[in-house]
Amino acid sequence: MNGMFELLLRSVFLDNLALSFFLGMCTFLAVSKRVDTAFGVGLAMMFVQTVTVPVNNLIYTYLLAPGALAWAGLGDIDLSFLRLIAFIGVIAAMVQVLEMTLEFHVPRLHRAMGIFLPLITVNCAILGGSLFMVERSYGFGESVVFGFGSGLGWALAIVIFAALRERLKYADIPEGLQGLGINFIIAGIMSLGFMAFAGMG
Amino acid sequence: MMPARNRTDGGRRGILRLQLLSLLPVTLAAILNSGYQYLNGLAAAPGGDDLRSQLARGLASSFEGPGLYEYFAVGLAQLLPMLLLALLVGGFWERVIAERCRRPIEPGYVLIALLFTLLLPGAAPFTHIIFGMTCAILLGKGVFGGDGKSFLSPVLLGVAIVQVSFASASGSHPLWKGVAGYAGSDAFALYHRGGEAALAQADIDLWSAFFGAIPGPMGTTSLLAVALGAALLLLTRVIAWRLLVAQIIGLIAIATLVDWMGAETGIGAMPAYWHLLLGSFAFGAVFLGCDPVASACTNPGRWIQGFLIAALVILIRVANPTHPDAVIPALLLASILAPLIDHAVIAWNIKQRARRHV
Repeated sequence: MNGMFELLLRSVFLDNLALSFFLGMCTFLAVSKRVDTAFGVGLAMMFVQTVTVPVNNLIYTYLLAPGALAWAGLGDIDLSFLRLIAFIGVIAAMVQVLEMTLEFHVPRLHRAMGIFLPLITVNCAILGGSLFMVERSYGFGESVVFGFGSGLGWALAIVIFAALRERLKYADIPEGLQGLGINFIIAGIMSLGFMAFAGMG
Repeated sequence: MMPARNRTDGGRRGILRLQLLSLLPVTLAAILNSGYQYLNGLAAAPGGDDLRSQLARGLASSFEGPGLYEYFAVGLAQLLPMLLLALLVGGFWERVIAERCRRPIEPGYVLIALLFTLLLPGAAPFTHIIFGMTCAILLGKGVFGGDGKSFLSPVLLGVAIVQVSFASASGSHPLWKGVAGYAGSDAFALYHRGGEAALAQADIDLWSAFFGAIPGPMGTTSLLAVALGAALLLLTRVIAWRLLVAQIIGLIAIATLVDWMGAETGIGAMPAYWHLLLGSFAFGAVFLGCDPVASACTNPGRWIQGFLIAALVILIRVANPTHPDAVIPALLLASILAPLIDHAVIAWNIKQRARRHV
């Protein structure tokens, strides 16, 4: 239990997908003009990440990993080269299923997430999360926690970023730096701030 | 009639004057303590070869015996070159920005240079000052359009970048070593290594820590001087009292809680008064944490941010050995979170008012 909690804190703060690995930057920079929209996309990200990482974990351990097909009597087959395409397919399918389910059963939540749900299908943070899961060989329970934690960390980062951008609405930014330039600088400063956690055991 | 623009500039300049004035006791204490640490340390180990050490050694050799005047002279020989260099670098970049962006030169860099110098230990190399001040002026305020337009204190950014950039691989920080040639180290690091026994061995008790006769970053050692500056800033309402009170109460409460929860050794068992006295918490809380630009500007937000700073300081001090003092990273993180705190408070307020007036 303690280890799980540590993993959660680690994936939210230390190994923050946006601020330590700079994953999912396109969405991070594009959909952070207002805090409300940033909150929506953060929520969607958290949702998708919590679902796809464990599902990909199951698919990897029981279908793709070396020797995973032993249950079907095909123990010497190694399908792990299919990892990327399988994960992307799973993510896209999961997002579709999720969207339809939400639209039918929880329309309010669906409206809050809006366009962002299909948008983040191609977000590299989502794929990155699944690949990290393989690289660090998480079990099923760990991948649930890691999926939730990394999604939460990314959501936290984009909401903070949007709030900073809102505050800087009245800043007098030099011409050449307006737009993307200043956003990269802000993201860098945020990353520096999150380095406060780097080195925690 | 004066145009409105000039009037606001006048107001900003008035605040700047007050801020500089509030740093006077701290600067005096920094000079005296630097001299005291240097002359005491000289007996233990002869100093380095850089300009400041040579200057200070030359001064020291012409003295009969150490006294208040000698401490002051030697301390001044330490601090003044650093401050002048910081002002020079700051002024240079300020000029460059003013020319490139066609803005007037803003006097805020004087405060930035002074605060930056005070946050460094007497032994900080000149390269750190040049690099740090450059980052502070360019990245901390230049890119955002000048004084007061940024979301964080430029000083904080400069010091944080220097700390991160020059952290040695061993985890012990070059900036946290004591005055040049003095084998000792910052008082907080002493506690980190050996607890109260190490403090007692270095002749540090509550009173010497209160008056500031302890090794550490130059301006941050004396709680008394910081308190005098804080009193001036509070009386003239330059800083928000809620923010300061929240930070101090938060630090005492959380430190006591952590201690009470059963940490036996190390920083977790450090009593709250040592948290307040050692390290740069008091200085950081007053002069950086209460910076009106870098903090929440709603009243509940101020309470939240104050407690957040205190909690982060204790958390990082206890759990993260790479940042022994923890004040700079904690303050940086808190000022990054400030706009979000404000946003949440305002959204909550709107909801409450809407509910009342249905």
